[in-house]
Amino acid sequence: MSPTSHHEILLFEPSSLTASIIVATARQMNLPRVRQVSSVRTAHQQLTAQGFQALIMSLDEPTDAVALLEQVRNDQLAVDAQVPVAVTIAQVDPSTAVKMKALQVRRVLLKPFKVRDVITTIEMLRRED
Amino acid sequence: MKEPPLPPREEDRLQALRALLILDTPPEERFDRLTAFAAQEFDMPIVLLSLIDAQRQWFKARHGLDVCETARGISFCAHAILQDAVMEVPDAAQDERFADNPLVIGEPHIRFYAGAPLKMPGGHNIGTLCLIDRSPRRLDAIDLAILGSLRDLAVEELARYAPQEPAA
Repeated sequence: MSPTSHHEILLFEPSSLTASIIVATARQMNLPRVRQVSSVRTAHQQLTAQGFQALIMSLDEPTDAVALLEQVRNDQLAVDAQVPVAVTIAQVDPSTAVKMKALQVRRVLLKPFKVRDVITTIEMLRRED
Repeated sequence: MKEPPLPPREEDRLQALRALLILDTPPEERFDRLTAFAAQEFDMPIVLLSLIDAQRQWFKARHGLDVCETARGISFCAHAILQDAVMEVPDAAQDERFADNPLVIGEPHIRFYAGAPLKMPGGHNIGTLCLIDRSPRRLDAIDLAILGSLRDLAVEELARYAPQEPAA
């Protein structure tokens, strides 16, 4: 495991433009380094390999993404099971809300979100870590 | 109104701009998506990718504005390229440089302006990525960082236009 990896934020965001602006803005603001992945599969590989300070996960692939978060909370990956998590999602129905609560999701960002919202979320997750 | 002074090494700057062969080319999605993204992110009615030519500012990408160029003498961006930091004008009506500018007292009735200079690898500021509103505003630290990120992406795309060095 990289000695610095626990200081990084893992961002799963399918839009490469949005993700690259988030990564660059976090860097400009001296926030923790944001590592961007564009699929649940790559996110799984990262979480299997190392720890992260916080996770921001798109639920565009809801079944796979929720399964991945369940693995995190069940301590089946290298990342700390209590790692702070925020999610981005198009809409929240009652069953999704219950699921997010069970997965201890700290913040839900509705799409289309603003980069500003993600940056303030990173600041919040860092404080809570 | 104060007309924008010329930057130092203006001839070199113009040469760097014209070497890109980008002036008067058609709109391109890779630039349009940046201005559209900025308009949505900042809730701005007008966002421009403006290039400062000898007598005009020409817009490679524009969101919320119909014209494709204006005279350099009335251009906010021609002021913005004089510095490397973002030039922010919170209220143009209260700024002696711009209060009686035709773009302030007439269409598009600019009140707020923020321009991030497009500094090319050679060191010349060839234009700006700029945000324009019809009401006074201010940007905070997060806004400025996001604008800087968008500007950096625009510069990356512009640099692809730069003539390649011949292979040794």
